[in-house]
Amino acid sequence: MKCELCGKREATVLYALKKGKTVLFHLKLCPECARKGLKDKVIDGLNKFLELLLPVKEEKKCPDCGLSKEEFKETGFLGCPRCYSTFRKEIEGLVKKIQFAPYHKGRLPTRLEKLREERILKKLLQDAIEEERFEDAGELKEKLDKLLSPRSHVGKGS
Amino acid sequence: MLEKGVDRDIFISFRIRLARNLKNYPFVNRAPSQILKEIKDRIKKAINKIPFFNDFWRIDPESLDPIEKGILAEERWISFGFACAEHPRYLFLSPSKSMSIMVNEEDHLRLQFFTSENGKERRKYLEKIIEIDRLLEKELPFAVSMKWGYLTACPTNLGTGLRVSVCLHLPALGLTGRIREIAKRWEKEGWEIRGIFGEGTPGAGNLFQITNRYTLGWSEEEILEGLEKKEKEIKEEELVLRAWLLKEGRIEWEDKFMRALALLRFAPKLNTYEALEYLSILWLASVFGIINLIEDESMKKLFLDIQPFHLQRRKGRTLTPVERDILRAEYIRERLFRQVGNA
Ligand SMILES: [Zn+2]
Ligand SMILES: [Zn+2]
Repeated sequence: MKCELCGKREATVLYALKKGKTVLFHLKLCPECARKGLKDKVIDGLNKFLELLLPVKEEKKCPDCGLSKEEFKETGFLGCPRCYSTFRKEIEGLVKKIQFAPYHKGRLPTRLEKLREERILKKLLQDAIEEERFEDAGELKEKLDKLLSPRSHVGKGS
Repeated sequence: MLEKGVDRDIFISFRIRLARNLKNYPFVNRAPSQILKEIKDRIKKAINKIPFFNDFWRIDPESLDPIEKGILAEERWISFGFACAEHPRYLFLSPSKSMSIMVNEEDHLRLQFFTSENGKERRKYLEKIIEIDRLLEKELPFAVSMKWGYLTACPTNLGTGLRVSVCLHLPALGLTGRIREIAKRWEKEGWEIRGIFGEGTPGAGNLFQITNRYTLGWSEEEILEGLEKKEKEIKEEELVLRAWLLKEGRIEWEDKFMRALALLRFAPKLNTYEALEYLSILWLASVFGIINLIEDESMKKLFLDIQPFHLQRRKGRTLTPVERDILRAEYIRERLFRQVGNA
C-alpha cells in the first residue's frame, strides 16, 4: 500500500486522526512523510481541520438538569421537562416502540388548546386557498376570526 | 347452564389517574430534597387557594405510622412506593375517599379517582377528574408541549398522563391459565393485564387489573372507551369458561374447590397469596350456588381485611410473617365457618 500523502513510497505507519477518544479516520503514511508531517505539524493541522469539519459530539447532557443520555437509557426516566427537547431524538425512537403514536392526541391546557386550534385552522385555510376552494376558505376564515376574537371560548374537546 | 347473577363478583373497582408535572422544576427522581419541599409547598399553596379542595384531608405521610401508611396503600389510595418513600411528599384525600392527590410520587402530581361502585357512567368520572385538572391548571404551570402533551418523568405516561384501569375478579380465566394467553394478545393491542400486587404475583386471588399501555396518541375518550370494550370482552371470556368449568371441566373444578374449602377450614396458617387464591375459588362456588357461606360484599371486604397491614391494625401492633399467617387463617375461619363451629 502506497503512502496517502506522497503516493510514492510504501506506507508503514498508521496515523489516527481523532477528536477526543473518537477516531475520525486513519492515515497510512510512509516513514518519511510521517516524520515530515510531524515536524511541519501537517498532521496536527489536519486534525484541527477535521475537527471543524466533523465535530464529534460530547456526551449529550440536559442543560437544565444535567441528565446524560446514558443515564436516561439506563433508568428510562427523564430528569426535567427540558429533557424532552434535549433528548428529542432518543425519545422519538423510544416512543415509537412503547406508545401508540409519536404525537399527543388529547387535552392540553386551555391556552394551548386554543393555539393548537388556531394552527390547524390556519393550515386548512391555506390549503383551501391553494386549492381554490373559496367557499371552504370563507368558512374557515370565519371560524378563525371567531377563535381569535378576544371573547372566544374554547370547548373541552380536541 | 349459567344463571342470572353469575357475573356479580367480577367487577371490583375502577380507577382513573392523571400525571402532571410543574414547569421549571426537575422531575421527582432527579430533584434534591430541598427542591421537592419547594414543589410540595408550591402545590399545597395552590390547592389551598381552590375552594373545591376545602374539605379534603391533608396528610403528610411522614406523620403516619407504618401500619397507617400500609393501610392506605392496601386500600389503593396511595401507591406502596409513595408509602415507603422518604423524600418530601404530601397527600390530599377527599372525605369520601374517592379522590386523592399524591404530591411527589413519580410525578409532581398524581390525581386519582377510585370507586368500587359499578354501573355509574364512567365518562362522568373522567369529566370530574379533568375538571379538577382544569382547576389546578389555573394555579399551577404544568410542563407541557404541543407535540408531546403533558410531560412526565417516564415516557410511558407521556401525553395524556392518563391511566384508566379496572380491577376484575376472573377466577375461571385465572385457574385455567387462559388469562396469560389473553394478556399476551392484548399487549400488542395496547392493553395490560396484571395481578393487583404488580409483577411477581400473577393474579393473587384471581384479581386482575386491566390498564391502557398507551398514553400518547390516544385521546382521553379513546382510552376510556377502549377500556370499556376490553372489560366487556374479557367478562364474556370469563363467563364462557365458567360454563365450561361446570360441564367439561367439572372434575378439575371440584378438585380445586374441595381443596380450597379444606385448606380454608383446617390449615393453621395461610399466607396472603394462598388465602386470596382459596377465597377466590370459594367465591366462585358461591356464585355457582354450590355453597353459601358469605355475602359478596363481605367477601370483598375479607379480601382486604386479610392483607398484612389490615391484620396488623386489627392486632394493634407489628406482627411477624408467621404471626400474620396464623392470625389470617384464624380470622378467615371465624368469618366463614363460625356457624359450623371452628375446626
Ligand atoms: Zn509519503
Ligand atoms: Zn433535563
